[in-house]
Amino acid sequence: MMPHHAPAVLFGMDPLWLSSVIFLATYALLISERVHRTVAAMLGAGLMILSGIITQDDAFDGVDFNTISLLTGMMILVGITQRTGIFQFVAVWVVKKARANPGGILLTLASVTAVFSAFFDNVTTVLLIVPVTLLIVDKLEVTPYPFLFAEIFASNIGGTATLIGDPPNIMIGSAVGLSFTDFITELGPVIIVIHLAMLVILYLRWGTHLKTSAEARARVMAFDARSSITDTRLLRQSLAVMVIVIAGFILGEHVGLQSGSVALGGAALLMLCYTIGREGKVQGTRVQEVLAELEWSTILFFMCLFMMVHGLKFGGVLNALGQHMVEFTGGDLQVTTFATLWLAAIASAVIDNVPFVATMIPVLQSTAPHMGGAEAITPIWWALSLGACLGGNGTLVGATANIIVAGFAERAGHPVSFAAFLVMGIPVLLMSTLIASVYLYLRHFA
Amino acid sequence: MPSAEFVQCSAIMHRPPTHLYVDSTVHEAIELLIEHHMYNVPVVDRNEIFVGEISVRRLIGLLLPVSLSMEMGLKNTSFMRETLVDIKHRLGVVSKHPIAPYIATDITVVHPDSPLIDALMLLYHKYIRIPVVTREDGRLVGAISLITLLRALESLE
Repeated sequence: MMPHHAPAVLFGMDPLWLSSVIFLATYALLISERVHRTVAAMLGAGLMILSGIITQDDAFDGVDFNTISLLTGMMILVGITQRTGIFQFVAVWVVKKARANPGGILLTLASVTAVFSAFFDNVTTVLLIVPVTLLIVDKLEVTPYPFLFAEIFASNIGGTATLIGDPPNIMIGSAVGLSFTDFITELGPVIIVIHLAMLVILYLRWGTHLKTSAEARARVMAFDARSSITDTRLLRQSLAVMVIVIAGFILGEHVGLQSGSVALGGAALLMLCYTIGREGKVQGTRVQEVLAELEWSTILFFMCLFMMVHGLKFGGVLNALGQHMVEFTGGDLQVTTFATLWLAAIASAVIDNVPFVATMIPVLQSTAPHMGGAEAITPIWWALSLGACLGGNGTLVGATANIIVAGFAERAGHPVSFAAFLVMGIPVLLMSTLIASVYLYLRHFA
Repeated sequence: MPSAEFVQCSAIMHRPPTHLYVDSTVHEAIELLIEHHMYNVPVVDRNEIFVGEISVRRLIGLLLPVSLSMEMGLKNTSFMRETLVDIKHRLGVVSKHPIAPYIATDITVVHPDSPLIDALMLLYHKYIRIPVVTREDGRLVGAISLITLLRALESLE
């Protein structure tokens, strides 16, 4: 889309080149990691406005508030739910169900991580599961690496399955109008296959070598999972609200209710449950605590990123990129789908998948008229989602959850090197992208 | 002590303070803490230059599984079942280790010529005991605690 007014671009420069330079410079800052990503995005968005490529009003128009609302609402829901101890309960419960057998724990904790990541954000999931894992492997006196790697892979794989599992899906769903049901029915089956394949790889590599003593297993079996639950009433309320929210995601599309409203509505309901009946001062403290735990830097990062991408759109860059993409793929839907899948997977292994997807969405939207319209290019959105989310498994810096787990490992005295992760990460990335390719082909092109 | 003049830390500080050396072991640190009923012990190098402090809190951390004591570690531990043998085993692993990795180095200090009010404010805000180090070369020359101060006030009477 071209601007509806003639922007007064600084020094009369070409908006296409100027917006490209600002965007690339910001991207370079993001990749270098010398500046915090939120600061980099704020600088980029600010320069887009100050240089006259977009006005402040245009910038605000560019922010996808459905995505922001969905992110914020889910952060509040997770923030309150985690206080109940449910994550620890489930982790300890499955470990005991596996009779504290290291191989069984490897498979069950990875699966729990995948399921939690599908419904909560990956970072929160690993923040809550990894310390329990480290405690258990310490008690069992086995190496933590297989477990930590499994949880990294599972969090990225599991997060791909739903609309709310990973930020790229939230952005794609919001921009293109794909619902919670669309995501889970389209991506759920292939994610189960990929997760099982990942477990097979990990079990063959490590599962049979993990040995422990009967005494160590007895120490873990002595754990009492039920004691993890710190607030039964809040747990019941949290689970009820989560059910309502998921029902809202599924049914909302039929009544024009967007996912952002559902998530924020759920957050408000759970905040009410968490505070009602308390003294005014306690209510205030609880609300402040929940809001203080929100990842404000992430929310601001998303907002600035949307503004920056809107600047690119106004500068005409995204149209030009879309044109090049159509020329490269010959306007062929199948070629574009697979090119998107593999490009997203490779790019997301080395750079943050959020700015990548934020840029790719309008580029791909601009190619729609050449490939039969918005409806026809739906396979491309699944390819983008699969590539961007699964790509995070390629390297240690491929996703925030990977970095968080590596930080835990280092503090526990078991550092994970970039190269050591690569040895497992690349095969998992290739395997999962290959399975995704076959799935997309069979489902949409066979 | 000149009672009607502005007081500097050097006038009331306790000297020489009890301290550990950087190459002391965890076991020696525990012995000292038990002997002197202290919560924080200043640590110096072999030239008596102040390096930091070892705290009871840090030592308690060594008794916990690392997944609990590390930054952003496990908070909810009610499912765990620990025995004294488990705790003793963890202490045994580290007791011969030097204290160097466990020293907190970002410790606020005062100097002998600092106004006493500086030390008082630090005690008020969070510290139990303030190390006094020389301005020139950072040598540990004393310490000020509430007890030190109360004794000084008592001597005025």
